[in-house]
Amino acid sequence: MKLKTSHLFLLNQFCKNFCFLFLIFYLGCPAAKAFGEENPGVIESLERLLNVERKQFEIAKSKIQSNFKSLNNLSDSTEIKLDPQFMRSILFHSDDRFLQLAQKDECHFLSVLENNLLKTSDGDIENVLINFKNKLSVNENASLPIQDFFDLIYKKKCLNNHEYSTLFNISNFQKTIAGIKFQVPSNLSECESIHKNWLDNSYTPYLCQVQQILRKSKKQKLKDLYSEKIPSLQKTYIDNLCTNINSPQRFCEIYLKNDVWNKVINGEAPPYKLSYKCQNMLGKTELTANDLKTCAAKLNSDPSICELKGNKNFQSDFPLQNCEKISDSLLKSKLVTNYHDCPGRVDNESITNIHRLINHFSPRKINSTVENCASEANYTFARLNFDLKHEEGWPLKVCYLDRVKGKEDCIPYIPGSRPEEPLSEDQVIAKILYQQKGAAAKTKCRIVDSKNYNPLRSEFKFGCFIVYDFETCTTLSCSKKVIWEEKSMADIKFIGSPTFDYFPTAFLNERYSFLNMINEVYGTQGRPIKNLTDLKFYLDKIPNGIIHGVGCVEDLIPEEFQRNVINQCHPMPFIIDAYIVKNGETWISLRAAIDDIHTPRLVQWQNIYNSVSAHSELHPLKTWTLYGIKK
Amino acid sequence: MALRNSYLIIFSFLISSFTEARINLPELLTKQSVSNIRLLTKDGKFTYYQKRSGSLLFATNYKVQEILKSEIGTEYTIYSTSSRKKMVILQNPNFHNFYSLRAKEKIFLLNYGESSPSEIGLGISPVLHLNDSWISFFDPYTKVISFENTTNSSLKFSIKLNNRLNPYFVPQVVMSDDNTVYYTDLSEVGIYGVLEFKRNLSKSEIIYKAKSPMMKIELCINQGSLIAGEFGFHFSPIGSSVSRSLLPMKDFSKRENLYSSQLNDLGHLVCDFDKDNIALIQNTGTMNSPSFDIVNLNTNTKKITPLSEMKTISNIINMDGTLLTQEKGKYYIVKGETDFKNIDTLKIKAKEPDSKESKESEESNDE
Repeated sequence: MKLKTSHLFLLNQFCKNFCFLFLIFYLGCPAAKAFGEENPGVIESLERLLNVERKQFEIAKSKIQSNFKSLNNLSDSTEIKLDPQFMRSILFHSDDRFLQLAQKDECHFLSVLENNLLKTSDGDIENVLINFKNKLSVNENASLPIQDFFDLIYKKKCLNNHEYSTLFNISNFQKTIAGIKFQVPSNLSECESIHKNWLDNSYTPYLCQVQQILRKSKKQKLKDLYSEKIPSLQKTYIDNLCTNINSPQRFCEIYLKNDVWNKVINGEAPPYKLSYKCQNMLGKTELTANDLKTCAAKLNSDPSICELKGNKNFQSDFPLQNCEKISDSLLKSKLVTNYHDCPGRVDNESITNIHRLINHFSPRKINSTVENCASEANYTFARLNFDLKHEEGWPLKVCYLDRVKGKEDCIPYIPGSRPEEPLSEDQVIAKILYQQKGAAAKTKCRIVDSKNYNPLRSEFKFGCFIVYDFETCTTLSCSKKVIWEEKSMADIKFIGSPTFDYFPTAFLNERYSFLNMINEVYGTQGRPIKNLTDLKFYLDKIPNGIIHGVGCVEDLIPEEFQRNVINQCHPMPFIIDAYIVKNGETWISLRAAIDDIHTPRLVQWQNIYNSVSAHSELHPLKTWTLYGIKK
Repeated sequence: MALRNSYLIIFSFLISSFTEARINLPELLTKQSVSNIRLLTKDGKFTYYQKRSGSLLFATNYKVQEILKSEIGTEYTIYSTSSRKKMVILQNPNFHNFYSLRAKEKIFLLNYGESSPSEIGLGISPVLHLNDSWISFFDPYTKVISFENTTNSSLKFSIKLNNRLNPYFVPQVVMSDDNTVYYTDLSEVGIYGVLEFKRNLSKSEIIYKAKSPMMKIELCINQGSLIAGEFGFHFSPIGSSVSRSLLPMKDFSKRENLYSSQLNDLGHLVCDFDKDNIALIQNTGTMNSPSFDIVNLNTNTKKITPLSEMKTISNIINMDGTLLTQEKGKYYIVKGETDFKNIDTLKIKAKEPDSKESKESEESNDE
């Protein structure tokens, strides 16, 4: 008997065991794999899970789709439910945001599904896989076109969803949107409450469908159609809502930033820092609190909007500044700007700057309209001269042929119409017509845009009209006509253009330079500002103190204006009323006289220093033309 | 000790070789106040300057002539090109007492190096084209660019701009030949466009539209090519680029890129100071902390070479071939060799030895 410990025996045993193990391994692995594939474990890669789900869905779909049903076939069916495999595919392949929206209740889920916000592994859902009990109470599976599914299901439950669909169809959509209140929050807890309300709101899935069309649809016509029907502020709101429907923090972010727009809403900053911009953007003269809130939200969510909008009909330098930069400037800005002026229509940068300075220290009520924005600036400067009894300082005159004297006479006038001002243009012309032309004592003259003046219309048949082109007329260059009783008064002429020293150019006329006139009339005081430290000190320590000056625009705003030849300089008055320090860099909030008053720009100190230096070199007295001014 | 010294020398040499040489621009110094100067020619022969009395004067060869006279405080600006045939003078009598960016000024045309100007119109932003054979200027109220032949004033034409949005917009204008003008305009939404105007057709065609309203386009001509610079502004994330199209232009979209940057440069292209080079002001800092200096762009190698290191540059001026910049009220020479202060200093003749003395020294040597 051979011992079982012999080498041959051991070798034999080893081979047997090895082959057995090999066989087990060879047969077992695929089986394990197959087993694992169909039932992935608790810890599996997402990719693997998706692959498994995709295969299972395909299998279920091919099994069920063979049993394609139409609406008529299912009229007697009961307990209609979505197939579990179909549901699993939806859970795997839909956007998490919309899954969150769908989880409130069954009706919510159905409306989210109806609005094409849920997807399967096939992408958009065109057919729905359902389980149901037929009229023999036998469980069946079927595939149904999605619209048929909803027609069927809405007869049995979630009846309101059907009505919502009607409200949000193409023909009713605009009216429905107009009726929805898009509430803008002013603090965090209010915002979270508003967000929760939107999650529960039955309209939200319909709004998000529109948002998805505007963002992703390849059908340009449909996109344009919706884009036209939704006002831009609501569009921004809906976009923010649907993008952040699963995150109240992100939804609230844009409403709770530390920007000037929110500070105005919260009452921490004066309304004029926001209201004039919003009036112009919305095309409204009166704004509600909600208008302001929605506008502020828009400025926060779309900062580039400020670059192109906000100064329509109030001509100024273009393009404007970004909303974020404007907000940075306005946060600390001190200049009182409770009006809207139009530098491009005044065409005299000194007068625009003077108007802004005087209305900072001695604000008056200004009704800012397209018709009177230029004349308000002229009025401010004219009054400054008349208050100082310096009639020569205001050379604008109306000349006419005086019948009594037999020669031409000229009297001062202030452009524009002001009921309380006897020197206003319309009253001066009416007086001339009364005294010289035999007009009635109560004759009133009307200032009319030449685009609107039509002598054939009855309203222009009788009376006095001062006609000029509002778009091109400026203080410097304006062709005006006086028409009375349909006749043009050719002998009435408008002459004069205001020339004066902003900073004195000679000691003789120092008193009547603007620098001294404002001190005399309004009790202000000024001193030169020589460096950045002094500028910061002045703005920080003096509550109503601001800084004004004149510099060469080629150095002040070199992005837009270029010096081509030696000693080329276009003097530009400006006002500085704040500074900010960002990333270690000091930026100064400046309004050049050509800038929109509600759009200050951030410039570096070296630009201001270079521009004032260059101007000072050309100044007759080599004056340093940068002054702090306070009251 | 000797060893220590040699170490010091080696160390200093190493330090200096690793340290880049700073660019120190010499200040422009002239015989009179620079603020009075309106043009100094490169060869120093001609000086145009003004006085507080309102006169514009021309000095050459120690002679002074009054070219124009106006009210006290009148400011003049003089434009010239590398062709050196004509000059343009702008006269503003209300420089100190009427600040208006758009106010039109009297325009005079003058032969280079002469003193008899002729008035040609009212406008702003005059430009000489095609070897000074044409002049253009702009009326900001009617928004019309007027062109006039400098030799035959009856040859005129004009182009009306479309711009409605920006009252302070001044177009860039270049003429590539007698029949063709390239200029910039703003669209209804404020976007820069480059247009080509053909005189024979009296028609403009848009050849390029900027991609955003937050950028500007500059045009100039260099060596028979149209140079177009695109520069973003107001903190927009657009960047800068300079490109070249050979003239006559076939397709603007196929232009050659010479330079590009992620940052917004100031631009201010100067294309006529050297045939192979363009100067511009580049942002050498960052978007949030910009600093600006002049650089040279070689149009052949596309290499950028810094020409200044002041970080606060806001202008480049080509004054008859001398590149200048103004900073803190002073002018500095960026490129140019002329010593304007001493250009006409009389040179002391080298003293010739006296003939008698030379004979005496010869005799003593012989002895």
